Amino acid sequence: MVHAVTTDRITPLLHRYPFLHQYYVGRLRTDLSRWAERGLVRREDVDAILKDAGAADRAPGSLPNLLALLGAVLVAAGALLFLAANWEGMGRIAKLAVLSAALWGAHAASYAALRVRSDQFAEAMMLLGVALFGAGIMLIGQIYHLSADPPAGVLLWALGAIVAAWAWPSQLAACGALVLISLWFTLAAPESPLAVYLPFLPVWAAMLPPILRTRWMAAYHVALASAAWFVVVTLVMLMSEDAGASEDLLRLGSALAALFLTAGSLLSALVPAVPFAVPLERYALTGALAAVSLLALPSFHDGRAAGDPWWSGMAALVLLAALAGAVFRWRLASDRLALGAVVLVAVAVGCAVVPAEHGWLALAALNLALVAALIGLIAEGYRRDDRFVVNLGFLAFALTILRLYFDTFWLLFDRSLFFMVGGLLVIALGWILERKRRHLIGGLGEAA
Amino acid sequence: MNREGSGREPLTRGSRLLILALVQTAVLAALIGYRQWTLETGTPVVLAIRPVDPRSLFQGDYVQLSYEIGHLRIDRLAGDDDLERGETVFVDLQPGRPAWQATGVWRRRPVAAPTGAVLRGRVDWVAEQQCEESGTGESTAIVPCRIAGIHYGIESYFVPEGKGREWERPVEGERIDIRVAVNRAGTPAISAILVNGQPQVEEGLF
Repeated sequence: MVHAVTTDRITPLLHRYPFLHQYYVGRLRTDLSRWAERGLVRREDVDAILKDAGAADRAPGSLPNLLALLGAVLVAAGALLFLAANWEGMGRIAKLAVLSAALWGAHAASYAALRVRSDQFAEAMMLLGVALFGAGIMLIGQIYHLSADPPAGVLLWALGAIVAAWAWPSQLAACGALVLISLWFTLAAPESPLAVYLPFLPVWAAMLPPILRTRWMAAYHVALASAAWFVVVTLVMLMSEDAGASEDLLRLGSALAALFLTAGSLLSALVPAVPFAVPLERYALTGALAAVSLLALPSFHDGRAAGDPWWSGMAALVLLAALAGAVFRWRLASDRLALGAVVLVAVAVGCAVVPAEHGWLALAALNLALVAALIGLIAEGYRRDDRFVVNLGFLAFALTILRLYFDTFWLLFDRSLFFMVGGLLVIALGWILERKRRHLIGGLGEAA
Repeated sequence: MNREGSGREPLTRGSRLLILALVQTAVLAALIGYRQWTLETGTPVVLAIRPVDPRSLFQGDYVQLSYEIGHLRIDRLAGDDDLERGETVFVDLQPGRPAWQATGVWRRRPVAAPTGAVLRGRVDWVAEQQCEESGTGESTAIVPCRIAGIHYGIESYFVPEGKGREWERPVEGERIDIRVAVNRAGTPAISAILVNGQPQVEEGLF
């Protein structure tokens, strides 16, 4: 505990004052050679440890890093402006020569930076190379009247970025590749006859090995966001194509979110996987709450018959898998987050079998379950020492209570009374919840 | 200093960088090479375009070309007529004068007749419409029909401004066709712009 606190205080100092870091690496080198002589560490590990300590020098987002990136962007912008101004007068050979020179120039600059051990600048130049590769695809497409197929062009560009992310290996290139993969999916899916654009998945998964192996947390977040985008866009496309009613798709979406939450929860039981489990749990928890909250809106129900058996069956199947995982996790370490989410989603999915004439009953039950689940979520967040869960729980609880008030009393009350009571409710809710939240969060700090 | 370690590291990364640069260059070169291979080995096919202001073709701008085979009456053609948006289709073409004509639209690639060519495209839309149909003599009838909008990836063409001025500009009333080369995979590449059947602009490597 004491060591962790000390390290936490020193790390920012090491980043702020490079000479401190140099001193630390120098000291480490002396110590390591002594430890190696005494047989405390293996000789073959010494280089790897020193390399890692040296690489820890540059905090992501440090000034030289940002300047190198900014420089790369400026050079790229300048090159593009120059080309745009002189494009008309240039022949094909000249255009191709400029393009190749820019591409190889960027890689040569990257190599030169590597030689002087300026890794950040080298990586920025490598990224510039990836950007120029994309520009090259577009320019060659224009010069040679290649078939106008934007998704294919973006996919090719994304593959270039994937190769760069693997070869370097570069976290920034991985982030860029994931953004390009998402863009490709966004362009290609609406044009495709496929209801679910499955080709996205293998290309997306191609980025996972380096992310997991190298523990790139920023790229991992981008990968999760990209996967969430895939799920949301796919569900919206299915809705707009009238493949299923919005409620059916939201039920399936909430079941999927519960499944991902369970997966995250199971991962968190494996110590080495904890850093990857937490963001997955958070994304999935937010998704499940959003989907169930939408389902709990009275205005969302159009009074149609109960859910379609096919979609409800799919949701139930996914939910069963989630349930199995959540029960296993609960028995493993009495972790209730996944299980609670599965129960809440089960109520939402269960509403699908309630006949339309009793729809209001199902809706009331779902809203009750939602409020109970949110209270449970706050308690679980507190038990787990997890500020994110506590804050998310409070936010969702406040929004749900206000929404319930609007749903229930808008038609019943006189308008002036409605607003006055509503105002008082907002003030009271805000005051009580914020006090309670601070109390709990304060408790978390002390507990830690 | 561990000179050996510090010397080896940039080399390893340097060679990876070299591979990255080579792969990127190879992909860009392949884009050009594939098109050149199509131009040199493909079957030349003349395609009629829907009326376009001929002068706009030569003013140094993008031109959106709309081909006659871009709107096909699939209920009258051989092949599949239950096509859906987004599907890849193969259009059977037979020589005609002055332009080639579509004779069939298929989901699966048909074997091209010795004199014909098979062009690959993608369905943009399918619509049930009312079409005019000429009957016997001068009478026309309005009948329900099924039309598919298909694109082939050769719909935009860029004429450099400098070159456009050198070309003899066609006047209103002159016929403009596009000659494309269709490779074995069915992918087309524009090889020439024809004015009254004569090539006005020929595409090459440089």
